[in-house]
Amino acid sequence: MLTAETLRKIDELTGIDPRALPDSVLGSKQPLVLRGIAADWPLVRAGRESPRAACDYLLRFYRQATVGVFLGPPEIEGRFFYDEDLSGLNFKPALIKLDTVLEEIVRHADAVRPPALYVGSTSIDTALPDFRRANDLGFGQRDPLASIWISNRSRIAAHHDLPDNLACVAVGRRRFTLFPPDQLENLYIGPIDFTPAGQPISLVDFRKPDFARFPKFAAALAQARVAELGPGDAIFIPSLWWHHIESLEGMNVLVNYWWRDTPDYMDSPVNALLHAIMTVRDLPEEQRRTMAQMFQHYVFAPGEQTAAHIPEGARRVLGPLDAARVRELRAYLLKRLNR
Amino acid sequence: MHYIPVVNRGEPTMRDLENVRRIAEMAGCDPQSLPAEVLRSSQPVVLRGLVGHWPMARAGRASAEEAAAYLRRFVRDDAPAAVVTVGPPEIGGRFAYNRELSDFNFRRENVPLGVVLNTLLKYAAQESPPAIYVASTTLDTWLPGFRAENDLALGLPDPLASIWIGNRTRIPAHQDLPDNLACVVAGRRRVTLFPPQQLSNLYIGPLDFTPAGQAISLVDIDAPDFERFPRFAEALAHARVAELGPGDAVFIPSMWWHHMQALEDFNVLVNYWWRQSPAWMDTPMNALMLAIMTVRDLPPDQREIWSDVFRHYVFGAGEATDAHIPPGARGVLGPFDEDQARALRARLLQRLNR
Repeated sequence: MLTAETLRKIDELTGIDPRALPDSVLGSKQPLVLRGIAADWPLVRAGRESPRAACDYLLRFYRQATVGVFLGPPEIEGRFFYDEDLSGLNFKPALIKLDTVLEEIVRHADAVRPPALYVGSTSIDTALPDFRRANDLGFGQRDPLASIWISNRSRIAAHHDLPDNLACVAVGRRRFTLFPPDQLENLYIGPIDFTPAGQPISLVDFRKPDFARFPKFAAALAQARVAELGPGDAIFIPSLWWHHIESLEGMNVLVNYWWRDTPDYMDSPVNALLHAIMTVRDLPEEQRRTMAQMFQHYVFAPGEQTAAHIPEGARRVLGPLDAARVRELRAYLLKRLNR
Repeated sequence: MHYIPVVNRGEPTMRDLENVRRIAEMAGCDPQSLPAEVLRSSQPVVLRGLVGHWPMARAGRASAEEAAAYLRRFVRDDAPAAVVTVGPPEIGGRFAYNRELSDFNFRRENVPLGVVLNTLLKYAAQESPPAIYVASTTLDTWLPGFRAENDLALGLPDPLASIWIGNRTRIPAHQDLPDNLACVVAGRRRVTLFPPQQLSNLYIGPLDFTPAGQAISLVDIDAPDFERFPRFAEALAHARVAELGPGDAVFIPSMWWHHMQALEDFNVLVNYWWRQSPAWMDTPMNALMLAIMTVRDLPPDQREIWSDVFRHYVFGAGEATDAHIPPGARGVLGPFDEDQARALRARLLQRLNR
């Protein structure tokens, strides 16, 4: 079903300077694959040699850091997910010394049914200081969060993130399956306040989709885009694009960069969404329609008219926001919520 | 029920205010069993004489002095002072902002209710007194026993009964989430209503700096500045108005904008507020302001995505939204309850407190 032959490929760009990634990539509204952009990284070269060599290279930067690890039994075949009735998870999170995890992965690298081991989004500068001196990309004025992901074979269910994302496969191979943000409904996204790793995920098992239970997933697949990346290849995933990621080798390492082009004080819209679920969703239909109109007016389709009738100095949240104004608004909302 | 049709339309003039459509009226309702189609309606309705039999309304019909005397029977020395809104004569009873909207044009004081009643009677003889208003004051706290003689059996869970006492005041158009049954028991009131959809034609002011908790229309309805507020003419075309005397009531549905003008030296209103949804659902306005903070200023394409997400989970949520998740695992996507509301509020507080 999900073969590279039947699904649309992600557009590829070549000839990009890794020391100065251009806005045509970092500001793209569409996903892009950048082949070989990190081919010169020492980690990529070590990984081409062997898992052992990749492990040894990483250990050069090891300073006793403890990292969060997902541990799953061989039966889950690397699909970190919920348990049968979604009352729990099919893996256990643990805190383990990074060198121990690396050695375990190398030890099982050729095993047929290894336990599933996954170190997700770990800050590079914390866990492997100085690694980026020789293994990095140029983001110019942007100041992204750089993270490392280390695992054996795994399948991470489709989810999305608020920041834009540039992800480089350094060791192993990875298959990316992306969906545009508007595929929310067709992906059968699960619980939003109980999630395996912070973000809500698709309940569809991509390896064997249950179309009887998830019929609209066929429509999602029609919009899917795929790419298989090897060592040194990178992918740009725009904000809020759904992504399903498979790691295909006995040892896989990914380095990714996340950044937002909006100020930090804007925070995540998820809390507003949760609060709206609580305060708006279950209103009588007519009241809910009125609130939809108010959100349209003030949030989703504001125009010059929205606050033009209020003197500039008195617009408060209806005027432009900045860090100071948001601090005031937070204090105001705290008082209102804290009754 | 019958409607009085809109009279003429055209260029906005002061005459528009005279020609506004009347609120539908219903007579002969049994105050002891109000029909559900009134209390659950999404349309306003005037119920003439609904509480005409209340001793309070009878006193109100007689005179301001008798109305005040009747109220005084329930004033207790040990009741907390009432919150009184006081404005200088120049504001003409219209409690709102100053010119720059940097402050309000009134102040609040704590005064015992008995003193307020005396003061109102004292000022009744004066040409242009200060504007005095005791707004939404819980009846059972400030006038215990009043409801034993003056009450409606609404058959609703836990309505909040409040009293409003003042002289000639004009409260700019605003809206409330609860449904509202408001009964004039002394003086006269002119009630001007606008459907919820008139939001953008009413020129609503700041959301986070409001005279009494709710955002208000910046238009002075008695002297509309059509140059500054041209779309208000459109709002007027949708307005509905009624003048109520002692014993008359008006049902104001949730989220209808209402401008309340008290027309005599001494006016008293009793109102009931209730929600068709549980109280722990709280006000949507906080969610709206959080969304302004986190969504409004995103790049337009990202904002569009969030608009879809809100439609999916909130505005268009239905049975299909969580049908693919086992019932026990739906979390906030399943039916919300008070415990979840408490947990979510704690989460938001923590988030806002960073």
